Amino acid sequence: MPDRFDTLARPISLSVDSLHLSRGDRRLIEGLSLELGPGDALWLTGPNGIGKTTLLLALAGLLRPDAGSVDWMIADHRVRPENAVAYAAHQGPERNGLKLGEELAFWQTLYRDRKVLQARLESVGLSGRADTPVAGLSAGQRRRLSLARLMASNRGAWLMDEPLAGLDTEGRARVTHVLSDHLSNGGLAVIASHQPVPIDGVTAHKLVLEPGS
Amino acid sequence: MMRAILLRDLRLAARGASGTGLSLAFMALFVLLCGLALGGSQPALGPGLLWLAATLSALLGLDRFYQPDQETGALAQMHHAGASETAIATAKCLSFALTAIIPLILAAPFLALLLGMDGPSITGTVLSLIVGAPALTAYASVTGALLAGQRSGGVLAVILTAPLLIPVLIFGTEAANVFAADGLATVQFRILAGLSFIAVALGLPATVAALAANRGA
Repeated sequence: MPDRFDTLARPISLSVDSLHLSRGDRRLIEGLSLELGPGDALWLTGPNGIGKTTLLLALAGLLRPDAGSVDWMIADHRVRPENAVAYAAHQGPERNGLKLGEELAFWQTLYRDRKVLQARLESVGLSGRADTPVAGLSAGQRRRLSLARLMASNRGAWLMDEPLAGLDTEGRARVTHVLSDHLSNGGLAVIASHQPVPIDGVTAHKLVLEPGS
Repeated sequence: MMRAILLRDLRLAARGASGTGLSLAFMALFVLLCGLALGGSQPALGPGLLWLAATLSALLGLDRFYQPDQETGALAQMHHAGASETAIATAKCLSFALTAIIPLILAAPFLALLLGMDGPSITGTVLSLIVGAPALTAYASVTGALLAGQRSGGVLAVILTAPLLIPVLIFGTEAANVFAADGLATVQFRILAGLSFIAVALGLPATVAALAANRGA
């Protein structure tokens, strides 16, 4: 599959070492260490405000840790987070003034995605919606758009913040399918979610963030 | 990559996201009110008033420079997708110049007629605005990037940018005033062009640094 990142030949891994994170003056994560390799999924869960999104931001290189380190490696070479990671935030980067097709095509151009727009829309169940204004998308449709953006990124590691929020049964099944496909191709995923995200063939490592842990 | 960002911005602007109409309306209103307050048409004050009007209207659009893309996280995502901050800043500046500055310059001659200005004076004002446009854009970009993370940057933006724009305003007005007598080859025009170069040379790296800081890097 030439349009896919070559993760089997260039395995991706993440190593987090005694990470300390805070938001404002609140200490959220203290001394977290973990290792993930190709095909691994990590499910982050825990009460609201415990630091799940904060941890994702740090993994994406969008938040400077107070102490400790986040290292992304591709084929044993240390790479910058932006070269390894695609981050699907809780709320997407989409702008209301654009149409769905324009929005996704823009990210495809930036990521140099080789698949055509229609194929991407179809794979998340949004085919025929290219002309719908972003402002008119439902929460679930925005999640689907976010999933399509992840697929278009061709990055080895996916960081997903609440990927199932607002999705119907069919949408959740698509997330499972796409994610399983990604992992079986040697991808890596960190998923912050209150509900378990079913994945075929792989059991996600579970990390429960708790107060004082 | 830069082209994609520019096209996206122009598309958004065409659908009203850049507030071009609002800036134009503000500029027209400002000139009209000046005319009323100063008691009828004031051709001698014309270039200065038009420069002031253009500058303030440009500043009005500042909070739409980077802020919407900062708030939605699009700037960080663009960086993740491989767009350098330089490419982002350049594309945004081009889009700002096209959608916020050039319409103001195009409107200036019509407003100049309201002020009773004559032909050479109007030409001088428009030319000086064109030469000064890069400076307006570059300083607006710096302030826009610095305040992108703030919730209400509007007035703060004007206060921060005003000192940077004072030399541009002085020489812009002067260049327009001396154009009728001396043409383009005046010291004033040269200094204005120099100020524009300095603004771009300083503004672009400063914007890039501000964007990187906003991203959390």
